[in-house]
Amino acid sequence: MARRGFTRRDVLKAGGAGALSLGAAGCATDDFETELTRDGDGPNVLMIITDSTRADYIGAYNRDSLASTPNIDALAKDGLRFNLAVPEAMPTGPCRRCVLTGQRGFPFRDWVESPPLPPEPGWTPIGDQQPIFTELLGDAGIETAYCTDNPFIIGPRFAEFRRTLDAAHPDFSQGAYRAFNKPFKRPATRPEIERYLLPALSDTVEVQRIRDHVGWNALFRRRERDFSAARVMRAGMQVLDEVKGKGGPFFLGVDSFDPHEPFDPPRAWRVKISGTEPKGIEKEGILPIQPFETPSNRVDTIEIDEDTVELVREMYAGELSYADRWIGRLLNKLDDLGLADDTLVYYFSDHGLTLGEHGVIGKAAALPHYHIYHVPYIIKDPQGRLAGETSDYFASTHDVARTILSTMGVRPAGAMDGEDLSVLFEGKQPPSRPFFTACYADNVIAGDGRYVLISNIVGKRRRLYDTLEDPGELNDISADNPQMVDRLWKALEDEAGGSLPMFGKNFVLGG
Amino acid sequence: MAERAARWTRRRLIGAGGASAASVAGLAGLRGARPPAAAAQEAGRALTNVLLIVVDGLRADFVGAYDDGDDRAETPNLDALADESLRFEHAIPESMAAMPARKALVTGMRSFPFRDWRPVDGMARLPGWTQVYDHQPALTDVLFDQDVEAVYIADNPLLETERFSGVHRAPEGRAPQVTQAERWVAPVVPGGVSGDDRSIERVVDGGIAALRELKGKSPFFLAVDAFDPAEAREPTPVFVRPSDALEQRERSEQRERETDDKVRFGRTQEVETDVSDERVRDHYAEEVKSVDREIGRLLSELDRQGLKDSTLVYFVSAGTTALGEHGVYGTAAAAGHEEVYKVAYMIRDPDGRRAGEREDFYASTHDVAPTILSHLGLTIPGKMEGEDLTAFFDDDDPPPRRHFTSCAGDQVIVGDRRYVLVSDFEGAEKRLYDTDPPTHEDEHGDEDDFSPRDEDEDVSREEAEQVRQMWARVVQDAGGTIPKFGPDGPIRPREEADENDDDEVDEGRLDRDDDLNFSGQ
Repeated sequence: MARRGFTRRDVLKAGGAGALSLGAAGCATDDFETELTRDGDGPNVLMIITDSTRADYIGAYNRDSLASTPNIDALAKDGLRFNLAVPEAMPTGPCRRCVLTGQRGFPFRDWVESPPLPPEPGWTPIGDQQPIFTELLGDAGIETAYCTDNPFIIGPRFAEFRRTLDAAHPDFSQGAYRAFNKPFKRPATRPEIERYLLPALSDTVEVQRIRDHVGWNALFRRRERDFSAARVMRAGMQVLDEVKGKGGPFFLGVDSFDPHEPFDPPRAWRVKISGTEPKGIEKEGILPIQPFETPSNRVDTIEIDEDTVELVREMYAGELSYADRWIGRLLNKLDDLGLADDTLVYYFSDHGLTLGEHGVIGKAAALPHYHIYHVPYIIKDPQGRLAGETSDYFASTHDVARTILSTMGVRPAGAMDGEDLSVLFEGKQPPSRPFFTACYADNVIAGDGRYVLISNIVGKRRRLYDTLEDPGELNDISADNPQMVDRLWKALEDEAGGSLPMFGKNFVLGG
Repeated sequence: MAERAARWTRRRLIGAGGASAASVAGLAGLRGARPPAAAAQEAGRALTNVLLIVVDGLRADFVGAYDDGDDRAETPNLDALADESLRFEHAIPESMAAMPARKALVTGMRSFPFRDWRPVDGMARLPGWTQVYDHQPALTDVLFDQDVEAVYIADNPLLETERFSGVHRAPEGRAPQVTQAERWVAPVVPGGVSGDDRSIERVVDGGIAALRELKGKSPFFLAVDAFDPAEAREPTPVFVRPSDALEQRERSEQRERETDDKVRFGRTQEVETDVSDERVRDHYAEEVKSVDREIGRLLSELDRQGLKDSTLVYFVSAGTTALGEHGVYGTAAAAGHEEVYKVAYMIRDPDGRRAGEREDFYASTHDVAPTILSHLGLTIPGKMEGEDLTAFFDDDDPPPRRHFTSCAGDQVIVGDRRYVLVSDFEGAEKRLYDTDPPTHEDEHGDEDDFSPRDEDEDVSREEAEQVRQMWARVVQDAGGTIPKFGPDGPIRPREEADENDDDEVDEGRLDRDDDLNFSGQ
């Protein structure tokens, strides 16, 4: 890339002179040669993602949360918490693409069906022309590592991203999705499966999923540390040990697929929340770890009662609590190594999921209500600035890349659309963002903090909710508030560059 | 891979305060960012200023410093500036017409492919011709927020809105008049413009007065934005004979009435002229010469005020001009030659870094805002899409830009070091030009297979694969689709078909059977 025929010495001098010119010019002497590379005194960045995490199941966001998340809560206490963070594009795949490139996926205008990714708008691999922030960090001499068990990232689909890393730690322990990347040869038997299978799902694709999941678990899950979230966090701890010795600044991404379904935490964690008394369908000896046919069901079509829905919530809460426990261990490790004061911790999730609200269980792209779009989002400054504060800024996933690059002093690529949120720690505000805008498959969401518009991208089914009066988003008030509907729809169009695209079956038709 | 000897952004260095001291002392003071101004004061130094000079339609090959062996250009002042600047040899504006190009310049966002166009009263009813929207960032806004004095001297109506009331100021009593506004109404007809006021003279007068006023108010930002030499005033009769222009206008208005449901792009006009290319070029060169003289006047004033060593000078031409290439004349015209699109573009670092050097990066108008903000140590809004070109001064490289894309009127343009593809928005009439055709010496195959190729020749038939690849780049840079326009803005496909769609969307779909492979989200 360097086209200029400079010697190294010249380069160093040029760099030095550049910096010096900012300072008193008198400092410049001919023999100034100090190399402007950093010592190991940070700041480093630790990015933690948990998949499928709802904000209202995190204690810091909801005091009555069913889950117990003392570690994330502590992180919020030490960091800056964003009250209403909405991932700009959902779910898993589009979100990761956005996080890594810093470019908005919304409104999925560049979607082309890309098998084996799901044939759903937004699921497109990272393009050659897109920047990847780990690559920019690597170019700047920063050690980069990423640990994940996310079946989409460890497979061939994010290979381009993995090539940018100094250390990639893939983990294939998500049994239910193992066939996605590696065929699994020792599946469970039918009776074993039926312990976990809702009768209504007895001849669906979920049978296969549970077969692999249970088969894998029987082989590899003995203790709590063998479960997926623990394995990912342990890999992160191992990386911390390694980079500590190297002395340079580092970026570590720890991206846990849990608490994604199947909701199958170590038993102790479930019992901690739901108690030992069987509940709902558990009374019939069934533990519904995969309580819907992906992506979603209506509660009544899978014939489960209120108690069973409650049970599912508790299982989800158990899985999240268990993931939180291991996040705590990772953060403790950071502390033990003396890195906590030099490391910015960035925690968020990619989307939530619906657990009985609106009569639905799972992720219904057409019903992307608060349970889907509202995620936890916390940044902990190494110096403790803004500790325990909250921000009403509509932070999102595309802000991650720019913020991390800025924190580490590396120039972002112009194509990165997000804002640099690190300015908040300097007492400034990022450029105003009066609306959040997001999309999930062929549905779009826009909100101003009080009103939320949810529609399909065609604009035929616009629903408006007043989240202040109606936090459950149950009463569509679009008919009475056409101006607000238009305003939020306009925000979507503006954000999309002027018009929203139209999707065909396999690609974007135009717009 | 370049040595990343200094990978920090200037924001970080300034924010850290005493960066030079820190670098000597093992970077002890790096953490703990402070506001730039405060940190700078602490370190006992002044932040630098920025002087942005914008002209219109100045082709690089008519500036002496871009020496192409053609000695027609006489631009001593620009040449002197180039000697002290980093010069971009392949600078191509991301959109070519005056308004969209300036919008890109102010917002740092691309105007290409005009997807956000809505007709605006008082402006040409052409895609791309809109004001800066409220949801877009603006260079001047960011500067204002950060207490940087910002003055923008222009005689075009771009900043004539409420939003810029605090920015678009000229010193008392010297406010330039908007005399060229009428051109905005019908920019495709370049004829008939008269008047004795020269755009460049007026804005340079304003700029000189502003410099005197701004001295001592460091850091400041001053933009001097002129319409010249585009549609060069003096040689106008050469471009289009007035009577032709009138006819053209009538014809186009007629056409507009006839097809009022279809939007009229700025079509490249076919104009009959009895003037030779050479005369057009001579007139244009003459015009460039006078622009050069005015720039010289402004830069001398900068010198006289003692601001030269503390002011970054950013010189850019926002548009370009075709001078008979492929029979095309005028601004915003699509021709196959890359030369037509290359504009003069240089940055003079106050510390003289990279003076007299060159870069072949495809610098563009949308890089201006992020580069200036970065130079001032300010955070670049994420919506700005341009690259931070200060990287070049820090021996870093911005992300590679392997091709350029742009649009002019009803044409999109994409090019790389060898090919230029020009097409209408719909992609129906694609023309491919090989600007660097292989010669006999390049050919190692059978002598008989070699067919000599002219760079004026459309080779889209022979090079179908190349056409496909170039078109894919246009689509990619446009975000995935290229918009189509109706009379009121972009139109979405199949909107009528969807009227018949079943409204029962959600409930039925929630229980659809999804393939296992597709359902792992």
